Amino acid sequence: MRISFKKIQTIFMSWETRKNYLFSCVLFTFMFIVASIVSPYFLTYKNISQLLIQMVTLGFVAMGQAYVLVSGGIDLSVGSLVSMTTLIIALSPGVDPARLIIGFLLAIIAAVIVGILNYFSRMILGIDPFIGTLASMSIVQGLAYTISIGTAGTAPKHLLMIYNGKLGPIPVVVIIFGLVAFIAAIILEKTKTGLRIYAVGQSRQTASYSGLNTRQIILLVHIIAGMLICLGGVFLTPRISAGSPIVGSVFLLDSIAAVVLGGTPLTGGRGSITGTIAGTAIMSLINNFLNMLGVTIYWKFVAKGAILLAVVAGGSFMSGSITKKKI
Amino acid sequence: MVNSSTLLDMKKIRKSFSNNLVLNDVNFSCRNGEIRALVGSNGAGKSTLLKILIGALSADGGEIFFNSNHVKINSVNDARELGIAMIFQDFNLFPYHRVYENVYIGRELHKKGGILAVSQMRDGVADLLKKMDVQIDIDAYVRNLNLAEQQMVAIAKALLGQAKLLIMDEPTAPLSTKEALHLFNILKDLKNHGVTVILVTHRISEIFQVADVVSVMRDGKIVETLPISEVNESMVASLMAGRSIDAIFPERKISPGKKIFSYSYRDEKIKEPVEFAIREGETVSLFGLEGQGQRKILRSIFMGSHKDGALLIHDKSIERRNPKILIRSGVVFISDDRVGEGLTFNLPILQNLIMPYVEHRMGVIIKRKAKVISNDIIKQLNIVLRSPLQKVSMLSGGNQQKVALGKWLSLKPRIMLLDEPTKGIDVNTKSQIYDLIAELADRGMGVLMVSSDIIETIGMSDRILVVYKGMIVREFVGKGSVSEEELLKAAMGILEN
Repeated sequence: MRISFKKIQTIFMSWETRKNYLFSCVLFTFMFIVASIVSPYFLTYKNISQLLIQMVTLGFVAMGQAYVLVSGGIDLSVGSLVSMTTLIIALSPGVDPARLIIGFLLAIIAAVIVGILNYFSRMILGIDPFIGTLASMSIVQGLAYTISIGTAGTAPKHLLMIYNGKLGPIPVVVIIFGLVAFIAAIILEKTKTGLRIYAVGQSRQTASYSGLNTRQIILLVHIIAGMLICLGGVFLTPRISAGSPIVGSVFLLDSIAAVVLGGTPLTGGRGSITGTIAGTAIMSLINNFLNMLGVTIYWKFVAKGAILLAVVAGGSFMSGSITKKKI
Repeated sequence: MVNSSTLLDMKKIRKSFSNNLVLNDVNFSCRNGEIRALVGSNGAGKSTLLKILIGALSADGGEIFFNSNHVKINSVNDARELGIAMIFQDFNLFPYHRVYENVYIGRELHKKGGILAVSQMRDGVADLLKKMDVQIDIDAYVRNLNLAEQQMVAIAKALLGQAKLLIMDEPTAPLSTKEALHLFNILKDLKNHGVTVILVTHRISEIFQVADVVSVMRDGKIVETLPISEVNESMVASLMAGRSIDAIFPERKISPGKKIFSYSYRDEKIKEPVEFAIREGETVSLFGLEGQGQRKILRSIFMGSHKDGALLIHDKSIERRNPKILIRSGVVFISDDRVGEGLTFNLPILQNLIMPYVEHRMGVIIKRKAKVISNDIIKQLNIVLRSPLQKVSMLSGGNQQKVALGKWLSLKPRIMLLDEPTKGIDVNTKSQIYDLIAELADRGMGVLMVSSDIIETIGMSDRILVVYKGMIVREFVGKGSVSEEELLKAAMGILEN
């Protein structure tokens, strides 16, 4: 039996569902097992809880990115928004515990504004989201720098308390993340709104002909994304004990990689939160593992870039576009 | 005549695109519970009329009455609210949603908090499908269904929305004979439940199986509406043909010479390969009704690969096929999509004209020569412009086409492939383009043309190859040797014995 590209493709495509997370879960399990075998240090409580905490920020940001990607767009401003959030939280005025509340409210408002800005350039101005969010990334990053060039401020005391807190063996932040992720997953995968988000991502034209208000749906998507990214920034602040205009940059690449690894293609209309979390786990695992091996940060970039390319190519392969003639 | 059983009455609908009058005071009406077939040649105006009805386009003039009420249909939602639903040729479904999700999208059943009431929707769809006497896996993703099943989902979706008027565009195109029969039964059943159906189709023989009344459209007008019992295929064909000639076709001076091009096209889904040749100075047309494959064949020459078939130019086989190699072998392609493929829209006329060929010194364009080439072409083709530095987008459609065509002249192509050469162009410019093509043909260039304009096809071609269902079914040799009616019948697959 001749095994051709086409045949393997057909096999993949036949059990493809909208949610698409089977592959990423399998990959994660595989990597987890390999890591456990290769290093005795991997399965320790200290390392695993370290891993989970690192997953939190990336997880929030990736979920925000996932919502945008499923709706048919992309968000390049996520990293700068994370940085901006840390600055807002760390520099918020007032006295504990009010300081945390004020900071949080300001951060959410800022995030929603950025979300609306991204919606505006995409739907009202009709600018391609790649360019539109590139522009908002620049704006937000610039604003972050005007607030502070280096690290600034301190994390509010109560936030540090939450960050260090544990419920039994599980860190509190992980529980909070779990709850938010659960709700985010339910909204996207099980509600009427979520179904419509998928629809808009698959074809705005068809969605429009089916009577959906595509503008309203995409506005909602960008607001949700903004809020999720904000949460990511909130829980990053205690990790660095300050605010920083550059700390968020790495999350752009990582969030896209996590989302795509999790089965959400860049073309939109498909994917899941569950898959995104699996993808986040994979990215964090890679980070964690490379750290353990003592790899420098520069090689980590090389590794992540290579993985992203491999994953997107794999997605291309599975959707059949690799065999299409390219002119 | 309007009476209480008239469901739809479109009066004096007028629509123009640029200078082109597409709908010329069209009066179209249908009664409650009727299955109406709407037929007409390509370009007769059927799609435009229907797009206005479903709110995708706005008319320049005229009024619409629905259920005796004067209505304004400004958007797709307006039409939906009235109960007008259209099923397009590509069904407009979401491939990555399940059947019940597609049917309910926009009208989803949900519990508190917006959570989808999946089992209720599944039951609802199961009910609907049972009434339609259709078996489909409700949980399947639409992308995994075959076309006939997808069509059923699209119909179910329209029915859920309580459609009173269902419009279907070429519904039997993707179906087998058996599936088509099943569809007709469903439509007849809908009729009994008070749904009115409008069917746009090119398969004239089929309308006799399902329609009650047929309306024939021609040149932007409804020319006749008759009960099915009073017509036959021939009558319909004659009504569809018979357009007024508004352009004069040039006389040809030479007769075709030796063979310079031959093509053998193979499509895996179609039994027989398509084979034809073009001779020096000969204009050959591939003619067929919409979607019969003639365009696919033409485009495969320029943009296909050797897997599509064997291509020989001057008896030399072209192994690797891509636009560059074909241009070098003397074959040029003029697309029907001027904006997307034929021209670089935002560049000046000059740049467009010199794009295939200009003299250069080590890669730097010699400005003087470029101007000479460009001015030559502008003069030769009589392109109306303010300055060669104007952007091409500023020109009229006809002049744009002249640029798209003209740029190839300096390469002295041997074969010109034309896809809808005068689409959207005014009468005067059409004549000029016909003259140009005739002149080039007289100089020995071979032309392969695809045009949906039957008059143009008859007027310009030395040979017409009729394409039906992807195969060449008839050949008419000799300029002007076939009447419109005959050609149309051949294109419809009607074989005269």
